[in-house]
Amino acid sequence: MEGIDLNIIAFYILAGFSVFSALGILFAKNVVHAVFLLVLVFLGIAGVFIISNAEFVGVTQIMIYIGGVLILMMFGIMLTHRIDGKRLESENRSVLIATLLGFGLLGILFYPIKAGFPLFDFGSNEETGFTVTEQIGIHLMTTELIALEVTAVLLLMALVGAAYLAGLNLKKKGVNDTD
Amino acid sequence: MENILLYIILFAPLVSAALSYFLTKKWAGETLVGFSLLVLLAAIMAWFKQPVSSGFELDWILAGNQNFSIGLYYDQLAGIMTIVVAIVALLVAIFSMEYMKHDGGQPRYFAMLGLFAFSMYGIVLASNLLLTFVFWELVGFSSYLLIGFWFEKDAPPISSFKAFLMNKVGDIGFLLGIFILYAFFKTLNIQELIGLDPVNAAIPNGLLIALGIGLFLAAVGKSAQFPLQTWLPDAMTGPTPVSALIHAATMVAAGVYLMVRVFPMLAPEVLTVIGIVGGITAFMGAFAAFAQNDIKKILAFSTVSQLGYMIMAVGAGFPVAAFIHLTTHAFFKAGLFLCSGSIIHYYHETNHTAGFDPQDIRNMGGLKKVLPFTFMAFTLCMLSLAGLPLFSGFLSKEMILNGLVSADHLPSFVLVFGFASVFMTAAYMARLYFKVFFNQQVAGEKYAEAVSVKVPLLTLSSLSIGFVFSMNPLSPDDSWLLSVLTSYKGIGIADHFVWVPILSIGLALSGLIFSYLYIERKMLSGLVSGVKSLTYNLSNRNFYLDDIYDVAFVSGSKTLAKAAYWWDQKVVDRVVNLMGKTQVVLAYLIGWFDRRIVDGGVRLVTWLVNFAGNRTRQVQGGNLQNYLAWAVFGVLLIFYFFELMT
Amino acid sequence: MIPIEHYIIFSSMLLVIGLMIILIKRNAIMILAGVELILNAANINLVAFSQNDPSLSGQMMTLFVIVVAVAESAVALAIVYQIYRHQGISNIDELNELKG
Repeated sequence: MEGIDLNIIAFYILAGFSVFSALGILFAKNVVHAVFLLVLVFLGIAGVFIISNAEFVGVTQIMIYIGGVLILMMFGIMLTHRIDGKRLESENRSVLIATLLGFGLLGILFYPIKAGFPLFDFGSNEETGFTVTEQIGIHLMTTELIALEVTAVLLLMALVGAAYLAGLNLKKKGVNDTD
Repeated sequence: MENILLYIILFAPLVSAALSYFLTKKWAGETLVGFSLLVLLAAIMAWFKQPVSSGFELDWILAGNQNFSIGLYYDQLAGIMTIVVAIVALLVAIFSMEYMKHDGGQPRYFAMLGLFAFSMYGIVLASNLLLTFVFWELVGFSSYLLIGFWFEKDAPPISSFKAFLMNKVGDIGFLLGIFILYAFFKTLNIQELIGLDPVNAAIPNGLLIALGIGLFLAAVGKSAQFPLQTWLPDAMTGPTPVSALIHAATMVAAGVYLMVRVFPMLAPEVLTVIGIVGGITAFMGAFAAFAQNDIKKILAFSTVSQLGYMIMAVGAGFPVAAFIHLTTHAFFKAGLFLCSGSIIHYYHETNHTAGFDPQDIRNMGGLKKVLPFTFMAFTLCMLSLAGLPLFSGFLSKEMILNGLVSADHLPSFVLVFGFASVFMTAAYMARLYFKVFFNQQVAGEKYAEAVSVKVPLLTLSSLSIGFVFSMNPLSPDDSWLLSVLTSYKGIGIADHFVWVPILSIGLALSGLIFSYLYIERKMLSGLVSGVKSLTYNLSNRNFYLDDIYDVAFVSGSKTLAKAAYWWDQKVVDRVVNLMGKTQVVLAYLIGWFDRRIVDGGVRLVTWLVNFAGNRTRQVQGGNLQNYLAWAVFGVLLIFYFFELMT
Repeated sequence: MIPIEHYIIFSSMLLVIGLMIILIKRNAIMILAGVELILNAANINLVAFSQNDPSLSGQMMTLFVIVVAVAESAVALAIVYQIYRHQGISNIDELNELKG
């Protein structure tokens, strides 16, 4: 009983941490601050993954998101904004409509909860004798092999495409284009 | 197509007119001559081939049960008339080619001549009075055009206008006569009307007289009878060949022709009036011809006088005599006019002095040597006009005079006028003749007339010789014209009086000698100057008829016009102006309404559409975030409908 | 076991925040961040429900989602960079050259 309580407390802390960080992104003016806050959100989510019996996913989350995506975003910021000491501010638009829509959507999402959330029980996953990570490895090599290969090809294509797009020099084609 | 010849006679001149005006501008004269020749051949062929009293009728207007038809009718009368018109028209066309060779308006001129010939044949061949009236107006119109041919000069437009107006007075009478006839007989076909015998039909006597007077008024206008004769001398401002064709031979004779046609419809009272008017006209025309100095005006007054003779004959009850005089007169008067045209042409060609009047006989003289051919033709035609034996004029004039003597319903002064006019005709023609051809003081080089002048003169002067019309040129009763006109209903031969030809020959000769003595020998000057001082102005001004008309009608009309103008200006215009102002005020109100209310509504609609368009444009505006917002909104809506509504 | 409702509330809040970021922010990179947030909200749900699933399909799916998200952000950033180079703008709603 103690562990369960600890788990719930940890979940509250991590989830609250993530939500507040996300709200920070929402209210942040500075783009760089927003990206750093995104790191905190991802960290919180990774923590939630770990306490939710998904250690491998949590670690992957930290590695890929924080180690890859966010670095990519930082590069993006630096490439698309002139770094000249000015604060990189992001402007807001149609705040009122967005707020209304957001709360409306939130209402929809919370609506079913008041009627309870019955779940079909598939049974415990402790019985196989493998850890979660081992099971994931087995699945990737057996049932999900095709998905893995397709994803690998997709990733390759995406990276090649991204490299190609980023390296494309459009200015040389248009003579009269302004710099 | 048994009537093909009639169609050719009627429509060939019209075709020629259209061709010469629109196509063959340079060869307009040749075109008209060719077509006139065709018409002449057709007329001669019709004389032999076309059965007498043939023709056809077509329905023209059907108004309820009233049927107005048109049609052509051919008999000897029409046959002779078409041949006469065709001959004169052809010769005039030939003559015109020389006479008008320097004129720029040749296509127009020859087209008008063609139009005139078409209308004239229409009158001659028309089978009913309605169609006659149509062509009657057409000849009047083409005559108007031809008199005013040189419209850039001062006099011709006024003269043409005058001729037109004077003719209109007569045409109103014609129209009234037609109305009366149609009201009682329900037909306008001349032969049917004659068959119905209007004189003895059950028709009120007053209307019968009115009908006759009405038809006679038409002839008064067209044939220049008293009191409407003043337009004919003024009509001499037109080209001389036109005067020969229209105002000597054909159109002015149309009135006489109409009288001859409708003679059986004329009541005895009407005949008396006709005879008196004819006598007065003959005398006045001859008298007025004395004091004229314009060669064409002398001939014009002579024409008036001779037309008076014809009308007199109709009034005396001898329309055949009138018709025969019409025929002979057509040839010798056309010849005289063409001679005068030749003289005028000669002066036009040779004398270019400014202000020189080539028509004034005081400028002429000695032309016997200069224009020998014209001189010869003129002599023949003049003797014929004077009514000397062996010439055609003698035959017809004797018939008329015999008729006058035997007609006892005419007052005796008509007979006196008739014989006096014989003397006067000879005298004024001799005056013209000796002044123009013999006066030696003014003379020039011998001038060779062109062939196209010689041919018409030769033809016309030879047609003035009596043998052409009668085997025995001393007796009018032997004329072949009489024998061919047997089918004509109004036929009547006057008794033959032995003293009539003797008296008329004597008068004519004395007239010639009188003028010869006065002009050539300068004798009798005391007598003449005495008469002259009394009558010169009367003659020169044609009995002041024009001045009387000026006072009676023109000034009256002008006063009326002024009054009407005042009324127009002060009353009608003000009412119109008031209405105009009201309209403007109303228009302003409407304009305000339009601008504010209607336009405002329209603008509101456009603004609404614009607004809606702009709003909806935003949806499709290419803004990704808007798309997403709408998508979320859609999700909300779907949820609302599926979850909350149930 | 943490009650499943807690996960749902958590992921819903992240989803709504991500959505609002996408709607409100004009900067392209901020929008990308919003997209990542929404993806993570989905991942949380997947992981939460896979707790009751012995075959671990939810976690597998989460892994693939993470990979696809990486690919997506790599391509998206390349596009943003190219747009900035070419047009000189980094705000999404200024990209209206093709607007009628």
